[in-house]
Amino acid sequence: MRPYEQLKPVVGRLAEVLAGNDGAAILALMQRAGLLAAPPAAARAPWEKEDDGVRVGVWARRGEGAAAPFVRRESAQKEWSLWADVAEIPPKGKRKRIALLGESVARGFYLDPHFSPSIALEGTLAAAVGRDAVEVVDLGRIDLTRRGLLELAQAALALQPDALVIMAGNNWSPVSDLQAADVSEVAQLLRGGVAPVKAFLEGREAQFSRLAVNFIGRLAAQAGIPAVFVLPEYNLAGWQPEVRGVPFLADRSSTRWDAAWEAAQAALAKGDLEAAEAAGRELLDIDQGIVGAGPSILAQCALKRGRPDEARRHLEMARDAEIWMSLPLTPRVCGATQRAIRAAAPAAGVELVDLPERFGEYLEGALPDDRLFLDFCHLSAEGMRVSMAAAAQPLLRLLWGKERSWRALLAEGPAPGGPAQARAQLRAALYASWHGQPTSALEARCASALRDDPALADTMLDVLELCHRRLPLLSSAFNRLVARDAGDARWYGTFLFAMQHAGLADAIVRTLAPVRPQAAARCEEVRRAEYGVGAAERDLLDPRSSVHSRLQLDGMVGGGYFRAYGRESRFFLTCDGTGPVLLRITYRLAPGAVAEPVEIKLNGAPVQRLETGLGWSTASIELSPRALRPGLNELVVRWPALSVTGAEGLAAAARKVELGLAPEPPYPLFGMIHALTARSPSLTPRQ
Amino acid sequence: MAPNIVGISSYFHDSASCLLRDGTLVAAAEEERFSRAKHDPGIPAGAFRYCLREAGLTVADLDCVAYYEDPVKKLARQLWMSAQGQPLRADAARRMDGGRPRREIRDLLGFDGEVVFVDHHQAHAASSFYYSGFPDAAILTVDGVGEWATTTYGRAEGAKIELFEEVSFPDSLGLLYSAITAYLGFSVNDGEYKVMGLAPYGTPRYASQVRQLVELKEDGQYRLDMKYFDYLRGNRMYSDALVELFGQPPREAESDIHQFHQDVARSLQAVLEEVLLDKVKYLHRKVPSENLCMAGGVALNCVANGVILREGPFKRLFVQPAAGDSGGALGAAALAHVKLTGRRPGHRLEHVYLGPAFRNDEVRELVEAAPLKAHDFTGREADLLAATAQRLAEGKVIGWFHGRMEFGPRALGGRSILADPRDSGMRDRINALVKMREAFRPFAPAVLEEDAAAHFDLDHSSPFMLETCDVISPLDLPAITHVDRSARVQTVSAKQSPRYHALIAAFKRLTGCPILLNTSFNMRDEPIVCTPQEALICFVRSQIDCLVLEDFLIDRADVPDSWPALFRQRFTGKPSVVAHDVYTFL
Repeated sequence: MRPYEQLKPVVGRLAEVLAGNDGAAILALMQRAGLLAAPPAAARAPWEKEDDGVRVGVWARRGEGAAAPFVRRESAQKEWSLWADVAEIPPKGKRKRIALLGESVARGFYLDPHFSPSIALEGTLAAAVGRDAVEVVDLGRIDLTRRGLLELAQAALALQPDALVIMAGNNWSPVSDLQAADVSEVAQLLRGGVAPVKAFLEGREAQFSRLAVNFIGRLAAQAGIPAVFVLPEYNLAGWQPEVRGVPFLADRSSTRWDAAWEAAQAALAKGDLEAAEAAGRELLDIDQGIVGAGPSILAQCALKRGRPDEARRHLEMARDAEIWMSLPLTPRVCGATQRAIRAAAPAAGVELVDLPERFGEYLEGALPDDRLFLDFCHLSAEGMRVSMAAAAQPLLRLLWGKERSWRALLAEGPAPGGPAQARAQLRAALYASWHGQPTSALEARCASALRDDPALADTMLDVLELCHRRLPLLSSAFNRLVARDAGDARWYGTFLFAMQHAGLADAIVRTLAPVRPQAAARCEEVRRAEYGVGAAERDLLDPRSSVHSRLQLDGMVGGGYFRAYGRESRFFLTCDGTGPVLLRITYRLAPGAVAEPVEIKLNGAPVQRLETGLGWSTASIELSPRALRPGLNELVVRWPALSVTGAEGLAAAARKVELGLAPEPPYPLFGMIHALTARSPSLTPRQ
Repeated sequence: MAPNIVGISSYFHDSASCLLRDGTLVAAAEEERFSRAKHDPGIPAGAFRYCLREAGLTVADLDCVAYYEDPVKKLARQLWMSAQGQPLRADAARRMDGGRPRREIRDLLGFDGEVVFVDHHQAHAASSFYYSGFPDAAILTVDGVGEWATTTYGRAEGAKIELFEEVSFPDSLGLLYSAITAYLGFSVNDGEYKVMGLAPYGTPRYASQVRQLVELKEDGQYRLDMKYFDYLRGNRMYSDALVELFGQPPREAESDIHQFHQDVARSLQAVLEEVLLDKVKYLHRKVPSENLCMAGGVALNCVANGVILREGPFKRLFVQPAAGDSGGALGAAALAHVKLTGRRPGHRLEHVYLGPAFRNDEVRELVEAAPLKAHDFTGREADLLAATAQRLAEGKVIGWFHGRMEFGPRALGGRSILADPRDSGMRDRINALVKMREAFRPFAPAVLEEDAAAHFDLDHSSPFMLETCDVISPLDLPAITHVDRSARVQTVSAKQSPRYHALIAAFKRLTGCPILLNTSFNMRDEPIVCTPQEALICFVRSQIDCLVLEDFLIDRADVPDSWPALFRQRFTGKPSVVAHDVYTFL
């Protein structure tokens, strides 16, 4: 008999015990406590790797020795679109070489390849020292993380740079860098609420940021070159925070929070600043700063009262509110990161370019806004020019021994043409729609784009069509974009996921009305062809056909069915409005929901109240043609309120953290929809 | 009672879902086809939703979800492995989680009714017997490992299945095969069929060494000599002792293949066949039925299946076409049906067209929105088939998309790449155009059922491409004939695959050849296409000459010039999410 035969009854019994509700958590905790053999700990910091000096980003050295060029790797094709479209980085010549590393902000998101921080920096320096004296290698990468940045910085030395410029911090999330021991602490803290987790993560973020800056400083010192860190700023005044509600609170105050949020918005709409401020303070008091809603309301009030300093303070609080999320709704640099970098840079020997400070000087004390930004963190051409003039100042001193003011450098630096800026505005409108910005903001960007380049009308028409194609890349519209401008098409090809939103389509239709009056009709035609309700059942849970914004995608996490993390779930329904539409919905309430009917609303008007329970129910609802509009209709499922305690939700989220699972968003769940389909009963299916 | 039952397999590799409506198999699909992650092991949420949609049911209409293994027994085996020195991985808590199947069925699929758990090999056995159509049968299941069992022997009659003997982990023919697969430089869980394809190029000169790895014991038992295997202790399948035994270092992945590798592959295949034949004879002594049902990953070894049928004591063999883990979902659902009703479920599985179909209207919307010139043959099937056959006869390679997607690892005329098997350069051409796979691997023939006996040494139908036989055709068929003159045949009947059958018949009328080369419609290391969109994208990314999407035909010349480069960069597929250096024990 082998040993395992003897052990079999023992492990069998142990498995029975561990297969219970807490079994996996017990194993996880024993492992973290060191009671079970754990995987060996890494000897180095996670980003420190043996560098073979052969690869830098998507490029690899072709040939031997320093004189060999770096050529883009075929095997990395999937990544190409995230980097500068450069086939080859030549060997270093006589010019001083500056490697500019960073995230999508460094990439010149929206303006690339027509303009980017690299172009701005090279042009600005060239104006001061001559074109033959300097080159900037663009090593920006979309979605670069802190760890990725530090690996890249190490690898970039193979290009023999004379200086490193780091333009990063927006993608730095403490959650993704947590160590195993931190995870247990987060789980423990989460049981007491999200606010303690936020405080803990701010501490960790400061620590990770300091380590990163120190690492860069050491790397540069070893290479004998200067490192310049461009500290990011956020579009405080120009970007409206997305609010997805309040996560579980340790007590039962979620309902109070919901009421305060509704009151704050109503008061602001009426211009009742006192009431809005009161509601904003109440929100902050209830959630302790883990949601941006309260500070955002207070900031808007402060702006209306002409108090920019107070507004800045609140807007920064709003920006920093969601540091506890593993994936914030938009990338952003948070206050903890900014403070840590400011504090660590001098000692690490890293030259700091403080953009919040420089932007403040440039805007003469005004809050950063759409003059310098195209969205939440990505810079406009003007923002890039100011940033790179500010970065050029220390580089001139350190590499050439020249002293120039950044304002003087700004005046001499390059700027992109109107058409490039127009394209960027249109792209920014697309992204803003994905992030639920108001249609007025999208329309302003579209109008600006068309004003700067009237020839953009046809591109806008094609983008309008792409908004409605389930498979935009396979469409004729995309092919026309490719024929018109392959680079532009490449950008849209990469970010098509962000395009299927009605808000953008409406903004484009209105913008194009004077010059392309056919746009509205074309929009309707394509929308109906792609999403129109016909004889066959249309799946309204398919995110491609029915999503309003990125927020709604949260509901489809896990793929099995839709979860409603808010009182109202919104869907689109497209029809010709001539006949009835038959809806079929399989739904249930979340545990803890008040046993009241679920309300179905069409275009704002109630159409049905459905009986509810904790088990799945299926209901069929005939929507009358009188209630339907030709084209787009909005279907809302309004769920009953919850009486669940936050403690239960927090405990469940904590358990998932302990298991090493990404927890579902720790937001109250109101209801679930397993199936939601629509069809036209008056039509017969065709083959 | 006429229950609606969903079967689920997941967390090893090739997760799948199926739906039985009153004992009739209505739908089945692997999750990878929806998630597009090769061998996706996650809870099959996409496949689950598809099954409900196909059956016209909601989650509220389900009576039961059946899961294809016992999580508690599996956890016991995982714990035992830890006791043997297998280190706990960083994600051990997630993997050694006996509550996970029930929890995710509740949380991620949304099902809150009765969940039935059945043993892994019970599920394999049921997945074969209940769909075999045999009134009684002996059952042999062989795989890597489920909970503890790695091989089981059983008998079945009517609704009753009894597994009376098992071989327990770590002794495993599946793991023996996987270990040498890894030694030969191929991916575990994925490259075993490549070893099978490599074997005919070699001679069994290392058979004695392979026999040292596995010792035949009494009855159904065999035993591995664990000094040659490392899968209990580390992150490698084989030990240094195995390397020493064969006298050559392990082959690096993607490196050249030499005679030595071919000989080891042949030796392994020979020993596997010896062992299986021995155990099949034992099984027949215990269960003297004329019928044998097989399942488990090793039952996908069609060469061994052919040997078992030709040289073994059973007259008839049924291998469940998704014999690997994905097919466990079918068995689990069937066993739950027996539990709920006391009746035998299933009918003889005549075809595997159990996945999604797409209306011609949907294809029309796709091609009309695209800058393509597509020939529309709606309502003119004969013309479509004639045009396709003409292109095949001209040596063109065709992407063929029609009807419901196949369940299981084989493309059988629903999502296939088709070509002329008489062309000596066709194998290399298809490899260069789309498959990018090892040159030694043969392609399979699809032959009109009524003409099969004239071209292949086969006296029965073989609709699932699960056995090999000798090529006896008067035609020269270099593209589908393996080096040992064998072929892995699919017989195509007019009843089960009318359009596919009619296409081959049209090709026969043009050329006199009732056979087509058939391979799966996918790029290397990607799942087989599921939707018309995926078929179109695969067509564009590859260099296939022509695409038939239901009633539409698209020639390569009519694809926009910008597309190939654009799509190659944009759609590069997701990497496999299953580890390939060691078997997915967890």
